[in-house]
Amino acid sequence: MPKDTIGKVQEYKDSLITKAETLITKGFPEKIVELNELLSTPMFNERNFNEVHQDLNIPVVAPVLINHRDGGGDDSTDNDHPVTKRPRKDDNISGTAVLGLPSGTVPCNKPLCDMIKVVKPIIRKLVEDSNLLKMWISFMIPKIEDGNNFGVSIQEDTLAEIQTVESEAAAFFDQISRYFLTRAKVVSKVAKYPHIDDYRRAVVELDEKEYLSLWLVVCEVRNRYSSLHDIVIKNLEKLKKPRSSNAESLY
Amino acid sequence: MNKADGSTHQGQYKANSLNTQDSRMRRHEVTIELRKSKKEDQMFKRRNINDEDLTSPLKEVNGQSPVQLSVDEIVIAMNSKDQERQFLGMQQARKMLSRERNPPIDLMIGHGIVPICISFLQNTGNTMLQFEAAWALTNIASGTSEQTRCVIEQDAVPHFIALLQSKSINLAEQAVWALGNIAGDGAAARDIVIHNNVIDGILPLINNDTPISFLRNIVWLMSNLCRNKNPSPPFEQVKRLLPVLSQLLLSQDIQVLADACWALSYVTDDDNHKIQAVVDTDAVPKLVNLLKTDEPSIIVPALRSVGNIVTGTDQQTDVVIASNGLPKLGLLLQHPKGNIVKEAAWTVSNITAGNQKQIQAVIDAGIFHQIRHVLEKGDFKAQKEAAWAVTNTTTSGTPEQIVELIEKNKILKPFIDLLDAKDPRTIKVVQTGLSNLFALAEKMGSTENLCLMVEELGGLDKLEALQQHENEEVYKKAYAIIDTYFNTGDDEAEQKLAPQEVNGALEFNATQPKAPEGGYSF
Repeated sequence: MPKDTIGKVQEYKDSLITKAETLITKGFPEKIVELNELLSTPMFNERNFNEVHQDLNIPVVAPVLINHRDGGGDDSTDNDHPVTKRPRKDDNISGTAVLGLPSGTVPCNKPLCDMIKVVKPIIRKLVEDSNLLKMWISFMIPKIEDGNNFGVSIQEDTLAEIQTVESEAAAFFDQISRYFLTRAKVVSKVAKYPHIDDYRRAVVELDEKEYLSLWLVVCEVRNRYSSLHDIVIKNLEKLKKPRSSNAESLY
Repeated sequence: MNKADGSTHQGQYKANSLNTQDSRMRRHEVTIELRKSKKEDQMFKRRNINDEDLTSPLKEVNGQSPVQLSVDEIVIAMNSKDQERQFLGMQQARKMLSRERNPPIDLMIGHGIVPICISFLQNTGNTMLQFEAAWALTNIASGTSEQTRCVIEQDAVPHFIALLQSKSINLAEQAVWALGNIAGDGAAARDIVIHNNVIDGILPLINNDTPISFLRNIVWLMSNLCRNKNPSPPFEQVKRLLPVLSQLLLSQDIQVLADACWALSYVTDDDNHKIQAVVDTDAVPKLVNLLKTDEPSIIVPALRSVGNIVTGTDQQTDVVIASNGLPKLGLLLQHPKGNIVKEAAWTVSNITAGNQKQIQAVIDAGIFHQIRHVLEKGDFKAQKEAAWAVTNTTTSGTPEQIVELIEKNKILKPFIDLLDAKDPRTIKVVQTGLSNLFALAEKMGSTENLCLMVEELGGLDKLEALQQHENEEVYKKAYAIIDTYFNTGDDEAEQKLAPQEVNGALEFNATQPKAPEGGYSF
């Protein structure tokens, strides 16, 4: 490998290490405080479930019975008599094909959207931070040797912990997109069967569940920051220098 | 080398007590085990997503049997003793019969499905089965007359009537729908439904809590029960529907209103005593009120009903007038839909066929102003009806009324222009009207004036042309008018060109608003 690439890689490693160490010593505590404060804001603190209820804007329009009318009102037909017979088609299971709603769009749940706007960057930051930390620990791991590996196992455990945090954080993200998809499906059912109250209730329950989840996400993120910070700080020496020279341990 | 059997020398060493072969196998198993559990995890995860994929309860039921059964298999399933299989077969049959294109009705009938469905209808313990059967039969009965007859002949009707009392609203609604299809087949089928006491069955179903789709179906059924003639439905039965129908005219739902109006239009399209029964339910003010909606689907049947009512007695017509029907008719004469204009004109023509008080009411409401517009600009069907309105006035109206038509409303020109119409019936109406006018003029001695007017407006030319018309009555009538009133000799005609010279107060002046003393004149 040419000399500058090696140089560049070393630079990258060094800057990463510095960044990570600043992050863990300063960044994390700041983050923890920030999240604590967020949790005490009215958006997350003691909010009533009622506040996340939102009107669906789907009126209980009784379903249009297709096949009932032969396009009445046509001047060429002398009369717009009702049909004498009509079969019940499958579409007619008291549902309407929803190509459009008479009252406009069904909006997203605004309070929840506001919360999501706040929570998403937090999750993202956690993913980024834990990713950084992961690399940091990896770089700290010494070469593989036989023996004196207790420190290394500490590093490995910590690494595993961070990996878990990263996966969880990514899962929180996924949860948000899944919420919207699920809500869309239930809302489409409401639109198709507007007179079935259970679907409407399902939307409400879904929103409440999501509200609780979002709050939980913020809590969990804060907890993860705290526990990571805790575990790293406690073991900082061993993480940075897993293998002590024998001389030190003797004296 | 099989190290597993301890007969080898190596196997006797303590160090080898840990059998490597075994370990390897165990490790393989464990790894495979892990791989397996991971795989299940993956699948479980995917299944999780599916669980969150909320489906409608109907979809779940549908999803249970993705395999399409053939018709034979369906019938076998329906004939089985197992209720679950019966249900699945029945449901498959229903689905085939409710698909968008070409449901295989005859095929199903040929496989003997109808009697099985009818027996399912009676399975009171299994509402879902009854529902599917009812739905399938509904669709079979929605086809040709022959297909509907199949359902009737297997004696489905009494069972459907029984289902009207079902606690399950969906089932009752489906029964209503099926009966609607059956009754809609024609007079005979309709009467079978009526004789099975359908009206006893449906009247209790209508109240303030009836769900709207159910109500719509019931009203539609009622319209089919009132529909068709030769013979008309038994009136003692139909009469029981009238108060309900009248009440339904206050509904807010467009389809309910339209069908209720249609039902009433069928009932009123008959003898006067039937019209009276409708009038007695206080339906007229409500019908008149509906004439001013924006919905043509409501206007058309309401107008038809009102139009039918004024073909009745004078008193019945008076009820329409008393309900303020005339101004609404005047508005409808200006409606964008030609069909509605035509029917409104027809209605007016029947009112002007009444007594002079009624004609006066028409005049007072300014209707002839609109009639004139229709004569000038309406489509040919509406023009014919408007011509009738005028002609009927000339038959029954007082001289003053007729004169007002001519002088104030200037009806003569567009009226005479209709002599150019393509439809000989229209021409004849106008000719009749003109004959009446001339007869009246003769009585008053102002024939010459009328002739003058008619000639000035081009009427004489048209009449002369009509003498060549292919229609016998038309040319005969044209000839008669000309011969009777116009051929009084050239001298006389020339003399009359100067009306002022005529003695007496019999002067014609088209712009003169007031009638001169000594009598009216044209």
